[in-house]
Amino acid sequence: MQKSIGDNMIPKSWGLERGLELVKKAGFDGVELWLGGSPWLQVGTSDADVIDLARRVKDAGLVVSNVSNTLDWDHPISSRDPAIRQLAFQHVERQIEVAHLVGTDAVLVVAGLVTDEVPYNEVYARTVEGVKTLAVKAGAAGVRIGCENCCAEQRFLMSPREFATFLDDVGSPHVGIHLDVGNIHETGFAEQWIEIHGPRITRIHLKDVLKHRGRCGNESVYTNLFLGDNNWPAIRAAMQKVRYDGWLIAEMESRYRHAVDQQFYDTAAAIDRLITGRL
Amino acid sequence: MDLNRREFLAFTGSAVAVRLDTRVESPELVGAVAVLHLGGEGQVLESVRGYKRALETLGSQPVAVTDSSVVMAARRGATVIIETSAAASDALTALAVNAEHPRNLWRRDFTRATVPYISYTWPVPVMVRDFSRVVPVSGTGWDPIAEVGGVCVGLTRRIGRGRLVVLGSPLGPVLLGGDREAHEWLAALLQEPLDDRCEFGGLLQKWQVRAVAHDLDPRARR
Repeated sequence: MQKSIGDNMIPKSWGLERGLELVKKAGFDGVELWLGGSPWLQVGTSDADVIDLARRVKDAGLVVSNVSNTLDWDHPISSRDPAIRQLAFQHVERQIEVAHLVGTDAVLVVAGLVTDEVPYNEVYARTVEGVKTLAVKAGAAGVRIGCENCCAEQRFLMSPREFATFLDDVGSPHVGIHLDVGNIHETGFAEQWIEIHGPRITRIHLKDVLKHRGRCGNESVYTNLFLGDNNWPAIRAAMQKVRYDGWLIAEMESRYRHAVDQQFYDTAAAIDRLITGRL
Repeated sequence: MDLNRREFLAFTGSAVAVRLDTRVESPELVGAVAVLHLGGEGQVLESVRGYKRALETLGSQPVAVTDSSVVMAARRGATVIIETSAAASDALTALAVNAEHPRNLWRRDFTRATVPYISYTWPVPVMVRDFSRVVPVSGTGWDPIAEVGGVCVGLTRRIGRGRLVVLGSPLGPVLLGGDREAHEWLAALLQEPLDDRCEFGGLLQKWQVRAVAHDLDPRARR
């Protein structure tokens, strides 16, 4: 398995080069690029600039593990508004193009957003159709779409079986699950999600979770690796069981008030221990 | 998919289906899979359902055997899977298998592993979630095929033209639950060649005996 961390973790004042240098120095093998989440990668970034971005990543001794986006929350493919859906398709299609340009085979999409206004059944039908359409482009580009399990945040696809049914309904080899082990808190056990989805897992996001906080109040439910309630030995064993040998990508909240670079070192060391089983 | 009482009893170690014994004597069973579960009724039902469903997806179905027909079925070419969730049984003793008292993996009195997966080493290396308790098994002349926490919970040996497999961790309920790796294991078991000791060599193809298996199915005996 290989270690990666999002470029959205790089302090905004640092710039890309300094950030990539830190990512490499901390011991990561790759970096996750967030479309819309940084000045160096926006929907309007040209192909030439994307290729240059890939070169800068390579020059830092890293590879791009996958391309995610920060835009699905404002522009979900499940929106009732055709204009919003159009924007959603635009940014996901650009994500696929960027993935192809930077030489990775996976994108992350938060597919479907249930709100008080847009009900579940409507979101489900629209999301299945939307992802089916996007899968054609992904397949042509040699890229797999990993629909992330944001569970409680999306109010959508809350259980692993339901998620499996969704993937069955999409029915494309170019679509799987980008499994976030930190997003399963009130709703189950990450290791069981891993067992059920197995070969359909495109990438794994890592963070820990403080279950007692739930989703109310001002305190984040998320925390750094090994500080929370995730059963990491079980998660590791489940990854072994399904023979997951892909990228482990840290998706943390920036919580270090001082020595912000230390979070990169700590996170890389924690992932190393997860990989080697020193838990 | 549901089993009637008679079918259910046909797969349990406590039942004695004399008529079935006599039927096992006659045909060749190369390629057939027989399942015998030694344990409580509730678990047996789930286990039989699991095997039936899994084998149906593989184009086969389990043949019912009893304690006394296990060896005979194996000699005639069947792969006989004996699952046990209990320690001692006459059937295991007769097969020279030593079964220890069941151990509860989830109480952590057995292994430090948080999720106790059974590691199968044969016929394909897979990890399968355990089913509550395991029965450590051992026996001279048997080959170990599964372990958890360094303790053997699965054995196999060739007998005649067939094979016996003893599982100290019931696989049937896990098959019923859709465990991908458990299904992979069963599929690999069916693919495992038995030709080397088969005196008729390639004359009897694995799937040619489906008709025999069907003939031995309890539903076909009425």
